Amino acid sequence: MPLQICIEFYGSVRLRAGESSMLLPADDIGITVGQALSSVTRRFPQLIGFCCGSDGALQPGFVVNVDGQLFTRDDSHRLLPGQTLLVLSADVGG
Amino acid sequence: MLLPLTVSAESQAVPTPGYHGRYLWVDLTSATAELRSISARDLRRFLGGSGLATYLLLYHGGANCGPTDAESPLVFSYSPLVGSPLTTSAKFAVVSRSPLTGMINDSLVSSAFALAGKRVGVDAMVITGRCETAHYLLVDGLRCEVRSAAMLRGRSCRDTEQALRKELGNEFQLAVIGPAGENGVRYATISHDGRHAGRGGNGAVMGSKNLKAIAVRGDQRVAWAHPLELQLAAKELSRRSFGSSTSKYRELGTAANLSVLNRLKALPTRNFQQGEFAEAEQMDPVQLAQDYHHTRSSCAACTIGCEHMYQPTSSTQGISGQPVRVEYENLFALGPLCGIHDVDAVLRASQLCDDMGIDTISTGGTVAFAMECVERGWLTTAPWLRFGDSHALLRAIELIGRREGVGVELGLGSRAFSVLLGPQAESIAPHVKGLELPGYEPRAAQAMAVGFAVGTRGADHNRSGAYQVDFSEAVDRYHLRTEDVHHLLETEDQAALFDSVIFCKFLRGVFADLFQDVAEYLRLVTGWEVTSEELRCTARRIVTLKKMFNVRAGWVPSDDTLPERMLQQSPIGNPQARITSVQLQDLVRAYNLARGWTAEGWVPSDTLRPLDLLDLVGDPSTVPQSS
Ligand code: SF4
Repeated sequence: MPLQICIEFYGSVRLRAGESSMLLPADDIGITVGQALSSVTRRFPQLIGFCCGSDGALQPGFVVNVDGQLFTRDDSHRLLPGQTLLVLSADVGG
Repeated sequence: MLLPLTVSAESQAVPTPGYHGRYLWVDLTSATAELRSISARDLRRFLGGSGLATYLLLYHGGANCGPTDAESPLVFSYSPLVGSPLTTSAKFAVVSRSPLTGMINDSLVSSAFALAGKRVGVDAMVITGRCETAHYLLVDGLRCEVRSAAMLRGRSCRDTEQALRKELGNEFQLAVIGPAGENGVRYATISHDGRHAGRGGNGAVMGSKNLKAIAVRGDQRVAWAHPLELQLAAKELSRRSFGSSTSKYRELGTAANLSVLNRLKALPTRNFQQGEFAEAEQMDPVQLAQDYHHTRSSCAACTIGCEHMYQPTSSTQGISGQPVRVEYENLFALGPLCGIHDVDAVLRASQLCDDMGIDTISTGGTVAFAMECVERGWLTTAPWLRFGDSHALLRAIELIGRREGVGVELGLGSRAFSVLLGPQAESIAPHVKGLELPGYEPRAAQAMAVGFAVGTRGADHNRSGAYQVDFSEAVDRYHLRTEDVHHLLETEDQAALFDSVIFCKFLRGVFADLFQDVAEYLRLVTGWEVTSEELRCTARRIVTLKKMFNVRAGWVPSDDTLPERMLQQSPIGNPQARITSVQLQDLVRAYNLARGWTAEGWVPSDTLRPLDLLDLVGDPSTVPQSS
């Protein structure tokens, strides 16, 4: 099994990306949320300035969630291989 | 018949800017109307919308009579911002004692009815009494008339609006009920232009008065304290409303919640037996926009426009083939909650609910409950009611609206129906205080679980936005601690302000500091030098006022709980989603104490003093109309 992190897109992020998910390679120590989002914007430049900057910093109004469990806006949070990062509007529900 | 109108001298006083300083009281039994004053003090204490209407409901003895008794008041209330250039402010509240819960029931609706209703020259309208036969109430300025609605009996909300529009012209704005309201379905709605005062059965209260519709028109405008500054502030707010914090609503609408909540295992499925629905992704609005003709619309005076409509591809006899407004709540309740993934069927079911004039959440909740009872062999009279069967859902909705067959019991709501079926059924009925749960699995969202339990109108996501807390970094949604409850209070207080001042809650991400920003808008509209601290106190006052209504209506501490099954089992496939009765009680106690109430939830008088509510203690008939 290659070491990977899955990124899932929801709502307007999915609409703009035109995809519902993507896979990122990751080594044993994983990557940070900021690095993951930065990779996302390289693949989907249309997301720059919408949900995050090209440096991977989240824009206000958006949040990420790890494995459906932990919500965070901390771009230094480390993702480990096998984990899934959800990118979504901070306004979940309503 | 023209109603003679009595005008009190006080109602002629110069009003506070933003307000008319008076309300219209109509008694259908005696066919009389009165123009009564509302003091500046009471306007500032309760603002408008939900707050002012709750006050008027209490004042007119709404807690002391049965919800469908003739004397039960039905209150329509506008707000100081209605008619202003501030985006999303064209809304009104409808408040009564709920036939479903027996408690306070405040529903918010948009849109042009609020503008026309306020232009009548009043801040609220209180309707009491009962017509002998079906009638509609025409309020043309201060000229009130009741007219026969015999020709409208049994007609859908949409047909009723069309017929009255043809008769009266487009200047009148209409609030109507469908067959369900006429037939006393306990979760019947009041419809305006396809939008519904949906929850808790205000439509049944209106129906019990033999009132099929209300038509309003007027030309009385209020003054604004600082009109030029208000225009500028409104322009700036509109500009901010186009930002990324509202993109979800503009681009996809609330239906976007479905996939997210499914992923978070918080999507109620098959009567809350599961928190995930295998076919949820098929119902995602990104997919819907590809599969169905998609259009967008908005309420009056709104720059966001969150209404997304989809055209069903097949039609069913009796259901108009119009585009259907899809929100997360109708999608979840008529879809996964009933085990249904056929989107076309969900669209037609939503349309049928709108035509009948019934709340989609309570409809889905009660039907899903009945489906599980059939599966378990506890309900044998309607064996055709099966999870996943979209024909059964459509048939059930038709029967509910017409109050025929099993629709008689379904029309009572899940709580009353479960009592007829026995204690096992009662333990799985998906309600709090009689109001069916909306689309958040409380065991996987424990802040929302507490919000549901303590909610004054029952299980509700609009008076407590606690799900915002669950789906954030603030708490662990599977292990809420008592010290976390202050987050819940904040969402309730914010909702009380939104619903009373009135702004649409979908603006919430636009405000840097809601209380501060609203204080400034109120200053510009009314001229009051109001602070954010004052508004925080106002919000707490309104929440406590609703609680006081419930206490008067017979609330007891044991009402603040969740369905028994939810305190005993996890949803299938998510063992960490678990909350015990003891945990919930601890959290509810912490909530009550944080509100300044007793641990059990009673409201002590030393809490009422700083909230300026002491005059509401005691017999409501002695409540002074203070000045
Ligand atoms: S955001 Fe949606 S619900 Fe709110 S006022 Fe606008 S159209 Fe109406």
